[in-house]
Amino acid sequence: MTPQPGTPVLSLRDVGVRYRGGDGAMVEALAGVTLDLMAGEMVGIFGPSGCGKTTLLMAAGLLERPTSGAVQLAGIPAAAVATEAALRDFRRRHIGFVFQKPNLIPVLTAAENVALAMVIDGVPAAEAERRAIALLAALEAAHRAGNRPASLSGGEQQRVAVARALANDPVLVLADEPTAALDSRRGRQVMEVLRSIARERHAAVAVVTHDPRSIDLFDRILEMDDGRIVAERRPGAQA
Amino acid sequence: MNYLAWRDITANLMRFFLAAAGVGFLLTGSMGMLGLYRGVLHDALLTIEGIGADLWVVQGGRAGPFAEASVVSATLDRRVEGVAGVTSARRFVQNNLQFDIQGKPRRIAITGLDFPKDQGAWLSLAEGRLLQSGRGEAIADASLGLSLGQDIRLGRDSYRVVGVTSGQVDMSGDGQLFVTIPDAMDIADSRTPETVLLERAQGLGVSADRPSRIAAVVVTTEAGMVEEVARIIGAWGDVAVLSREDQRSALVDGRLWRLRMQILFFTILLLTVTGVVIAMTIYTSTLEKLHEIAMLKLIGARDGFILRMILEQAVLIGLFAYGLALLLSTLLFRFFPRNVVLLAEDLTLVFGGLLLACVVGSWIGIERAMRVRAKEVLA
Repeated sequence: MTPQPGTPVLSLRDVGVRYRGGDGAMVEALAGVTLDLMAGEMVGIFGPSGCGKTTLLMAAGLLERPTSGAVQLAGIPAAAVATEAALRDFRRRHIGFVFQKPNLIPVLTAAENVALAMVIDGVPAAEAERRAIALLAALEAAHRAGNRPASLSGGEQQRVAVARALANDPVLVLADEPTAALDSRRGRQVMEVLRSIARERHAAVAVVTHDPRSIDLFDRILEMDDGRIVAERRPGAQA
Repeated sequence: MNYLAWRDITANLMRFFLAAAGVGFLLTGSMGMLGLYRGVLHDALLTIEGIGADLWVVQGGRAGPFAEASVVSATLDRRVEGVAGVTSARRFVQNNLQFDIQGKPRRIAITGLDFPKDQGAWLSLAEGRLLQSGRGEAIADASLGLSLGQDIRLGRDSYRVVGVTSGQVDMSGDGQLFVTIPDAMDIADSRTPETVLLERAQGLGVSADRPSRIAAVVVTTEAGMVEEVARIIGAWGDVAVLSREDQRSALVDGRLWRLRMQILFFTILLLTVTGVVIAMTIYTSTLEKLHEIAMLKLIGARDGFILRMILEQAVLIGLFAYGLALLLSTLLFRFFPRNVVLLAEDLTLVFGGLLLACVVGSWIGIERAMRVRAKEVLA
């Protein structure tokens, strides 16, 4: 179900993540983060290394259960999704992920990589492949549908990864440094694609990045430090 | 089939083929082991099943000529014929002896036929005819390398090959040569003239003559009289009476028991090694894919999807290996010196063992894959 623009897709309430470090001491990776991501908006998450950006993404993506606070996605409390299997089903239907590395399956073609996410969701292979090619076409990568990742450029691989993230029409797209391995032109292209996903599909898009070159594409920018959101601003406005 | 499994195989064809070939050769070994046992069993039972006996009358207290030495009087058949319910009584003797044939030493199972009652009609002739004379004729198995019409010297006399059988060997794999009972006894009692003279000089004149000993008497009875005949003859005390099933049992559960156990253990060992090879292949392949497995979990793949992917690869290796083993067995076993008999039930057993090995072998790979967490993609 496509959410209405401006309605909350993801809500984090006072979310904390603590774990025991290698030296036995407790590490507070997230310290009481509260955040709402709205349908149709793209949010940039900035901050120094080790500030908790990736941990925030993991908590938002239901990859890491918070030690405190609450996460709600598409109106459903994450705590209500009890088992790992149910969590995986939930994630498949609601969340798309994009990473610094495309993490494509090397033995599959671009179209098959995209289709795989749908096949896993129970879509017949032929139908999944048809939809995958349509998705790749939307990302201007359909001409490489039959190629394996090894023969694609970095930018093409990343577009395939984005197409895969969109395969099951997620309400939330989480991207972790998606442009870090790309040159500025290709990086910009990928960010524009993410931006169009937010605009056209009304998905909430959160991008963890160090890259300030595409800052103008974000609706909001969150600054993190020491596991906290320390600043929030809109591009063009003063922090 | 999970197409990811298939694509992974096609992308790593050499590894797949090498693993499958290794497993295939091991399976060929397993099939060969079982086939060898079946072949020994087949050869051993050939005479027991073919000769058409309801009962075997053997030396008292002995388990019969197929289990141990058995010596009875050569005239025992006449006593047996007098028992009510007996339709025929034939003498039986078999000795394994070594002779030079065409300059090469060769072991022959000399089997006596009670001519003229038994001319060898129960044998399956590949060419030639049955015995027609009480002396000097032989029916030879093809494995002995003798041809029709060939004369062969055994002991003091020559015998003409008048018939050739195929696959008529004894439990040891020695080709059988069928002659009349008197000829068989002569061949077995072949002594040099000096030995005979020396025995006569020592006053052992009787022993210089033909020994009146045979191994057993083969009895057929009227319908429904087997137990009664066995009871009557068994009561004589100097002989023992064995049914066809007793003879089978003496062979299968007696003489062949150790061989059977040995082959069983070897087969289990080979199937275990097969499982280890599959496990090693699948485990290393899984280790290489841990990141991809984490990615699959991240995009929502259920454990069953990943489990199937790994298991199907293992089973595909097994199926390919099984096909290869069948092919090799069909092509190679015919050249083995011993009879190798592949039975459908044994092939099914190997297949079942293989599937078990695939499941158990892939388990450690699956177990490792199940421990992968989706968030490891971010690591």
